[in-house]
Amino acid sequence: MRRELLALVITGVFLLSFLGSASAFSLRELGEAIQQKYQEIKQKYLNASNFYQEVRQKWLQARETYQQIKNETNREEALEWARKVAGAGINITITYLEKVIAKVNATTALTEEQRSAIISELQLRIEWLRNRTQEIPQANLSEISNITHKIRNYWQNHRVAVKRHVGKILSVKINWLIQKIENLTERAEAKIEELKANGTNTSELEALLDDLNEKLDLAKEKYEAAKEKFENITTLEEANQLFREGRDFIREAHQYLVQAFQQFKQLVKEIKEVLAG
Amino acid sequence: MKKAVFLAGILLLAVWLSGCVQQQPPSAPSITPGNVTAPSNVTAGNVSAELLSPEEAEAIEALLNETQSLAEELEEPQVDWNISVE
Repeated sequence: MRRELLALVITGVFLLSFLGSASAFSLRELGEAIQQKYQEIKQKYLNASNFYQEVRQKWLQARETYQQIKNETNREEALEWARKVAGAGINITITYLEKVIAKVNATTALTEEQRSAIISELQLRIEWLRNRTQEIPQANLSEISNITHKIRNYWQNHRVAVKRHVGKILSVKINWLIQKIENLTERAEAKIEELKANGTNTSELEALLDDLNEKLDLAKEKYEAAKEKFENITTLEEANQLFREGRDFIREAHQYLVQAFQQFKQLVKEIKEVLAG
Repeated sequence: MKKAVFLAGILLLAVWLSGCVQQQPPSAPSITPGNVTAPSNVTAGNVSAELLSPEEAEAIEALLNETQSLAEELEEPQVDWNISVE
C-alpha cells in the first residue's frame, strides 16, 4: 500500500514538473516572439520614416509649383501630395507609438501593471490618430490644413507623456543592469572572503573589487539623476530639456556599467588565476 | 501488481529527473548573493562558471548593447504638420 502510494506521489510530481517545464518553455517562446515583434515594428518604422521623407519632398515641390502658378492642375497636384504627406505623417506617428508599445512589451523589468497602463494610454493616442487618417481622403486643401493643425496640437499635448514613458523604459533597463552586476559583485566578494579565510593574499583582488564598486556607485548615482529628470517631465516647455538631461545621465550610467562589467570579468579571471596557483 | 506499480514509479522518477536536466530554460538564473555556496573542492576550472555563467554574461551583454542606442531608437519622429499652401 505504501509503495503504491509512493508510486502515485512520484507520478503526480512527474506530471506537475512536466507542466512546469512546458510553461517555462512557452514563456521562453513568448519572450522570443515579443522580441521578434519589436524587430518587425522597428523595420516598419524605418520604412514609414523613409516614405514620409520622400513624400514630403514631393509635397514641398508641388506646393512651390502651385504658389508660383495658381492654376487648377497645380492645385490638384498640390492637393494630392498634401493628402499623401498628411497620411504619411500620421502613419509615422502611429508606427512610432507602436514601436514604443512593442518596447514596453519587451521590457520585463516593468511590472505587468505598469506595462498595461502605458500600453492602454498609447493605444488611445493611436486610435485618435487613426480616426484622423479617415478624414484625409475627402478633405480639400483648407481642411487638410485644419486637420494637421489639430493633430499638431494633440501631439504637443501628449508627447510629454510619451517622453516620460520612454524615460521609464530607459531607467528600468539601467536599473536591471545595476542590480545584476551588483549581485555578481557580491558573489565575487564572497569568493574573495573565502580565499582570504584560507590564507590567500587577496589584496590585488580586493583593489579590483573596490574599483568595480566605485563604478557601480557612479552608475547608481547617474541612474537616480536620470530617473528624477524623467519623472519631472510634466510640461511641454520642459519636456525636451528634461528628456535630454535624463538621456545624458542614462548614457553616463551605461558607460560606468560597461566599465564595471569589464572589471567584473577581469576579477573573475584573476580569481581563477589565484586558484590555479 | 504492487511491484509493477513501484517499478513504474521509479521509471517515471528517472524520466522526470533526466527531463529536468535537459529542459532548463536558457534564461539567466536568478542571482542572489545567498545562493553561492563555495564547494570545498574549488578549482580554477569551475570558478568562472560559478561566478558568471555564460547565460548571465550573454544576458548582461545583450542588455548593455540594447541600452547603448535605445534613447536614439525611441526618439520621436519629426513631422512637419504645417500643411498649407498659404
